[in-house]
Amino acid sequence: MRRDGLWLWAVVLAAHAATTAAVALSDDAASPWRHAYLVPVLGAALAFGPAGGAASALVGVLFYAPIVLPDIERAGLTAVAAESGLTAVALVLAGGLAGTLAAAARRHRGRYATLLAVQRALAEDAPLEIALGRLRASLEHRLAPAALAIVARDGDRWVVAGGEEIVAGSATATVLEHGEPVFVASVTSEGPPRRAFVAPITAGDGVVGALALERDADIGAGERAALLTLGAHIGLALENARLASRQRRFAADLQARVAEATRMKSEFVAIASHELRTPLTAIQGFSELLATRPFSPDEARRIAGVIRGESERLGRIVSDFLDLSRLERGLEPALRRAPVDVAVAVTAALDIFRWSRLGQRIDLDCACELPAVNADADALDRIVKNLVSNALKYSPPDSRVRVRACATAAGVEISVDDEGGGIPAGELARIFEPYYRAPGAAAAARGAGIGLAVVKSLVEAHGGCIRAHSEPARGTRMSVVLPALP
Amino acid sequence: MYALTARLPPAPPLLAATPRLTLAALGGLLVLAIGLMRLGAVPPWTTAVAAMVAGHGALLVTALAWRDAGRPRPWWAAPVVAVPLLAAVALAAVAHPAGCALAVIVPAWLWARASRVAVTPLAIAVGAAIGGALGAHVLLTASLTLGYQVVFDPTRAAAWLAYDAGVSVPAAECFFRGALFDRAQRRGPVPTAVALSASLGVARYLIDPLLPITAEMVAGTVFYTGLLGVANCCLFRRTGSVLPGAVGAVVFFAAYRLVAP
Repeated sequence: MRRDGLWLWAVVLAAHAATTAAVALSDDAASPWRHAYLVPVLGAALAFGPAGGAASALVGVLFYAPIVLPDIERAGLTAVAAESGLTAVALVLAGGLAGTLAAAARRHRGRYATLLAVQRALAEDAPLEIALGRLRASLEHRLAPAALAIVARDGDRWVVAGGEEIVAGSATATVLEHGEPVFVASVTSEGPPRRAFVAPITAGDGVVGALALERDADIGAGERAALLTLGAHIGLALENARLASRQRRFAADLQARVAEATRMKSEFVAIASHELRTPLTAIQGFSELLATRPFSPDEARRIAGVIRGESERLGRIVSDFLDLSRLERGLEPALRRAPVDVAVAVTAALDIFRWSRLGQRIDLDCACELPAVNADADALDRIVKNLVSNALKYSPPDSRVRVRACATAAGVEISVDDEGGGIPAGELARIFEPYYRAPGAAAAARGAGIGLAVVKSLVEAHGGCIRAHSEPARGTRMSVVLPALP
Repeated sequence: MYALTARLPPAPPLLAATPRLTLAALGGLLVLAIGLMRLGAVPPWTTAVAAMVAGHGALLVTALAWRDAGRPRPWWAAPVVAVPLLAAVALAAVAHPAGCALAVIVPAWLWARASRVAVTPLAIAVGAAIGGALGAHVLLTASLTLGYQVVFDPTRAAAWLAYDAGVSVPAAECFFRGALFDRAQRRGPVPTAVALSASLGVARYLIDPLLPITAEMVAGTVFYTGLLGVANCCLFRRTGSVLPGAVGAVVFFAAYRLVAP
């Protein structure tokens, strides 16, 4: 580039010399050949800008002066002399003007290219460090700096491309603090002066970074204004890149959730089908036995009892599904409230578990003279059966499940204690979520993970509360408190 | 990177560390010499010596004081050498034409105390070429247009060369480029610094009592010293040294001194 420039200047000088020779040989200072001075002047202006145009025009005037001045000296300010003077003035004006316009056009083209480069550098999805590094490389190529750094906020920290850290009190720190640009005419006291300009990178109402440029050449007022615009543009591009990245993350997250929901739905359908099929198979088998074989009255009564128990279980599962459906739609379970004797209700609910084949013992401890509660008898029955059923499922054989009912200050408390493996402390908060099953629960027993969610919704629909307390390897206590009738 | 790691430096004023006492003393010396000459107490050459010491001394000591600002050198270190040195050169030149040769001590002294900046031969050649081109043009224009004769008198040319190379050009380049332009370009745009340095440089030659007061000489001084000032600012900015510009100025003035008034 430098060598090209020297060659171009040599051509410019040669063109001026040739024009001078042509004008001198014509023996007329106002010869039409003098217009040829415009060629090297405009050439230098287009190549080197206003300074080049003016310098070339000055060279032209210096070459032209020895031809014009003797005529002026000899004959005074004649028409020819005036024409020659006008030529000199026109050369200087043409050089300066053409150079200015060429430089302005180049500057505008450069600015548009820079804005495009900013967009390209920040278009791809990449961590902020890499995106800033890419942007810096792109700007370094275009801004011709001695040093260049780009700072951008990433949460609570500043990411710096082109430097290690930001020292308090430095030009960049000042810009980040106050949001105003800083220009230092010379950062050095020896050698060629180095200019420094730090422009804030803004997005919305705040400063999100800084663009720091150091150069051994001038950074004029026009360029500083352009750098301010560039800072705003980078801020916008960074914000867009952030939003695009967030959108991509959100889409990926959504996709993962949809996949998880689909998986859970399939799992739920499989479990629900199994839950429904188990009592249905028992009902079908025993009813077929009754229909095809003769049984003694006692035996027939026992089989009918089994069929009744399995039917009730089936009904409970279907009721749970219906309640869950209402729960997911944001509706409370439908209740038909009436005064209910808790002791009677709990005793009746436990009756179904007399045929438990797992071998656990169920102890019932009901306090005398419990106050009545205003509840839906069927809902209360399902609450107790769900809790006891869970306790039996997760307790080892030959262990004890203890059911107690007692009066408390808040109402009537029904608690179910088991001697199972317990629930990890971190999981206790989630066991009432629909479909949630604690890790390890699936291996211990089958279930859809909806029982406790339904119990909680039923209890809360009664204005009561439910609590879970568990100690690993010692067991779990589920306590339900229902408000008593006054 | 400075903008990230260095605290914002304070911006000292343009005329900070100006040796006011020394300048006042030099001004007083000149006024005293003129006064004594008017009274007939001293011969006219005394005023010439005082003017040379005061004029070039003021430029030189100011340039050196600005240069030494912030360095561990006492303020009087430069004046205490520069002023007697200039006085000795002026007196030697008055005493005998060959005394002008003593002027080479001044650039030698400046060279010895300057902080070296590597200057390429190409930069010096470019400086000499600019000075040569302007000098050639002044000879051409003056002889063809203004009717001045070009006369080469070796003794006279050598005396002027010693004055220009030893005193006038070093003092002017040290102050207008090495001090004034350097300070101005560290505080504002380069074009403004160039304009300030070149225009004050032109003013220095316009008030020079050695310049014949004619319209064409004044116009020529403005044109050529203005161009020379601009070119030397560019050379100083490019190289960081006053040497290429000084060589150009010496070449130009060597040509200019050939024009017989």
